[in-house]
Amino acid sequence: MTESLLRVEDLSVSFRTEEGVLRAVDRVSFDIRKGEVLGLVGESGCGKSVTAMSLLRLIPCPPGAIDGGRVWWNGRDLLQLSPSEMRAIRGREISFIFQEPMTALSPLHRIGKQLVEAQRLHLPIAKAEAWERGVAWLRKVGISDPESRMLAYPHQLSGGMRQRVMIAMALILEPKLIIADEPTTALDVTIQAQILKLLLDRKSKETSVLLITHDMGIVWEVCDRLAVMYASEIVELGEIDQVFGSPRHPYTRALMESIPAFTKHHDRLQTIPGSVPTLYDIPGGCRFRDRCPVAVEACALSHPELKTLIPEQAVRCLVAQQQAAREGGGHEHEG
Amino acid sequence: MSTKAEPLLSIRDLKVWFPVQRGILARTVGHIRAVDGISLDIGSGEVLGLVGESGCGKSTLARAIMLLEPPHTGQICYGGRDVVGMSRLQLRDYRRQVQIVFQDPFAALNPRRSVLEIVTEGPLQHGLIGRGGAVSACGQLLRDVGLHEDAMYRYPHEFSGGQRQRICIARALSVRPKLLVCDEALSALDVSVQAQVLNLLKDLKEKYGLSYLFITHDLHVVRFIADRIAVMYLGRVVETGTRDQVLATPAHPYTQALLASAPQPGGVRGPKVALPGETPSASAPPPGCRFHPRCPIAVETCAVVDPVEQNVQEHKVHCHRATFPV
Repeated sequence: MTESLLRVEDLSVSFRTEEGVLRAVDRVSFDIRKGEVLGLVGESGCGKSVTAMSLLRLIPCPPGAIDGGRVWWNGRDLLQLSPSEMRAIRGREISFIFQEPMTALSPLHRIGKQLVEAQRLHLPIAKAEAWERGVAWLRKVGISDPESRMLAYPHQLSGGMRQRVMIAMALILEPKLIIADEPTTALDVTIQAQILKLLLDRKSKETSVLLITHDMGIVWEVCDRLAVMYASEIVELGEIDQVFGSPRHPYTRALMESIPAFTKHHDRLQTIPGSVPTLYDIPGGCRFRDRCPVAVEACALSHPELKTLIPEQAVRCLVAQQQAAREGGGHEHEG
Repeated sequence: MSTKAEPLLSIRDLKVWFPVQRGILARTVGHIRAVDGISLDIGSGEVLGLVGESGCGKSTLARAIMLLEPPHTGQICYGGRDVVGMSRLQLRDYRRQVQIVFQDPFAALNPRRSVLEIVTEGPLQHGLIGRGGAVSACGQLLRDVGLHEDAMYRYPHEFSGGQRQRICIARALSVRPKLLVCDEALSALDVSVQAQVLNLLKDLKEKYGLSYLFITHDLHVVRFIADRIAVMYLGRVVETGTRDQVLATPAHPYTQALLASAPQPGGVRGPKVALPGETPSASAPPPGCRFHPRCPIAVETCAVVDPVEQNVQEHKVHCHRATFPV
């Protein structure tokens, strides 16, 4: 099995709000392997962005709090590092690409200054050299006339161009891991394809990518493995062909069936009845059972574990686990 | 249009330009040509899907139809009558019969009004219901859009995005419209909620015999709901045809690129870069065919001559090199 680059164990994150304690991430475990693109999917509010931001400790605390878990990186637990040690990792070893580049870039500084600053924060290089590298990276991410773009302010660029600048900034220090949170959601499909290609080009250079998205089409196109989140926890985790070919968690199945395909015509779309349970006071048992077409009584009694049913496919579903047990096999998930 | 009957809404050579002003005297130095010569028909009971990327002018077109933006030139005819020549009463009726559902259900509802007030304001204004009938009318509308009647006494912040969009739909339906303009009405919703709302819109169309102008950037959605499709690029419609024609045998290279770039689960892996570069600015559209700087099959003529509409197999295509794969 491929070596893992980052390993998350039992990560729990909550937010203290006026209405109570919201469990945004609940004992999430996964690993990111060297050179792979791992997709983290789920609907809004499922905890995927909070998970991603917690890895770099970007959650505002308070109201947020990382309640437990470990994030192993190079033999160190990122959650235990001092703020200055953490700053040395952010951007240098692990970089983050946000959905909306306008909020991630400073509106008051020129692109060039921001690119230079990002480098000089981590590397002992001269301004002139950092500027040259900035120009070179803008060219690499497909920005025409990079010399003059270095002098532009973010608002003078289009959305696609700003996202390219964000990617250049994320890649310029050649990190080992890029966390990209919905990097193309604000972009058009033709631009989206260009940006995804840029991200994938890095993969061949031994950079891993954690891609957070709600778009199953994108996951299929660019990811090697996939983790599906529902109500603060991972419900299915596996290799892309297997999860798409035979999704075993009923939520994953429902999610895939609710996407209209344009290769065939539907009279009606499959929908998931009901709604996501509140995360303030999460009920016991399986969190999906009220909406689940295959739920049995036992689903209300115990909270299912994430179990590896076949190599490279783990599922948090009692029914799927029982079915797999009948078919023979089924062993405990190592995490 | 599928039949020879008169279209419900007919747009002819519509232009909506926004002036670009500079200096302290605010001199007009140019125009953003958001909608630049569009002709479209929407038949009675028909769903026209309007697709295109951000900035192509599709929302401006929707706003122009809603009379929220004055056109520079061109006509909007409803039931055979130009809205420009309409009397006040006729305009009032037009505003009732043509309703819109916006993209962001969080911004589209007044947070200080209860759902009952939001949904019944229109029909009360138009005299479709009396004060006494408001509660029962609201209850019926809420049931139609799949919400519980009790929702009427609650306020917008108490609802999720999908539920709010249902309230927006109930509000639009409350005045018994004929045409519903849905401007990216699903884009802010999660896929599973999108599916619910799409099914709902399809049911309501059957129930009330509505026509939709369905504006979206999502080709999957269009595939599901539209009868005909119009594809926009930089202020112009580049291709129109029936759903199956446009999706199965796209004739314009831009439509082909859009279809090729859309990620499709189960299809070929890897991002498919079908087009280089980005959409040019609408304040200085390229000469000749607007698509030629990005077009993979452009020839010299394309940079000089603006293509006129060609009519082949019911497709209408603006392209010098339009091809029809057999």
